Amino acid sequence: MVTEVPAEVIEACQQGDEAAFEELIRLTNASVYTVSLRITGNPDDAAEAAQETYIKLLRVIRQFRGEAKFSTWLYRVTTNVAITSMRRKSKRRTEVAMDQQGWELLPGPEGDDPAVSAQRSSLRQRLQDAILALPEDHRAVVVMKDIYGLEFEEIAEQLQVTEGAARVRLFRARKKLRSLLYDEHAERA
Amino acid sequence: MDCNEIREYLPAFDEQTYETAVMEHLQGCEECRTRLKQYRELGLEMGALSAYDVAPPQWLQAAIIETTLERLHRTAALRAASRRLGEHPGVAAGGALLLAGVAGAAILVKGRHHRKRVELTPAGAVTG
Repeated sequence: MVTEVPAEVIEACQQGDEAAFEELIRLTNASVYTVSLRITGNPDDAAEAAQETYIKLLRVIRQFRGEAKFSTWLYRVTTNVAITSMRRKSKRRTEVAMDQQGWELLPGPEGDDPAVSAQRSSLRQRLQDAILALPEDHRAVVVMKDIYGLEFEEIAEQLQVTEGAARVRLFRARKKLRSLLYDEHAERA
Repeated sequence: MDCNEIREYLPAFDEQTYETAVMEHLQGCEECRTRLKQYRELGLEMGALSAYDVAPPQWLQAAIIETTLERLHRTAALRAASRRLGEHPGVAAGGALLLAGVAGAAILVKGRHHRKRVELTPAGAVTG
């Protein structure tokens, strides 16, 4: 989850302030890495995309006018960089099987709440792994739409497909996820 | 509509109210209702996932800071140099002329070198 960055830090970054950029990176790098990982499905590519995202931010941060939340804007920049990186590298990428993963989720807003059931936590972790096991074109759509709430218009533009094609991919991704989480999990249990 | 047809609609759990035919089928089919429930649970969990990050590699934050600040310094230095040149139009014009001269000379030398190499190829030689 992108920690909301204080407005004064963003303004200082827009003026090219070094310390402010350092602060921005500290506050947001885990989220930028996570978005990149969920899009690319590969930790090395995600780390590279995260670095490229901040280089891009240097160029574009002045375009942020505060009309949307900074976190939403940052998701857009990050998904854009991650998708470009994914396309560039898709030829040499090999899909990662579910059982090869184990990138554990950090505690979220309810991390310290003892009432959070182990069942929900387990489902969340299995979901994270299942997303990473999807084919990359399906994964990108489901990550952008269902996790980060981007609109179809924007998703289609970023993926350079029609909105209809993006919807078809989303449906297929949801079907695959449901099957991985409920049918295949039940078979293994 | 049978179960297979109905199940094509279920992934759209969050987008629209289903057609009457789908609703009627769902009322009478527990298996499809269970699937719909699973899609809805999936949708809720997906939305909640944005609040949970994956731990980045430990070296990443320091690497990003180093790379980004280095680029920031370079950009600032270029801007400052450009500003200085702007303040001294004579120097800027001289610099531009010098650069153009160097570039022209480089093209001439390259062209002459290329012609020389062509001339040195024996007539009728088999190449490749």
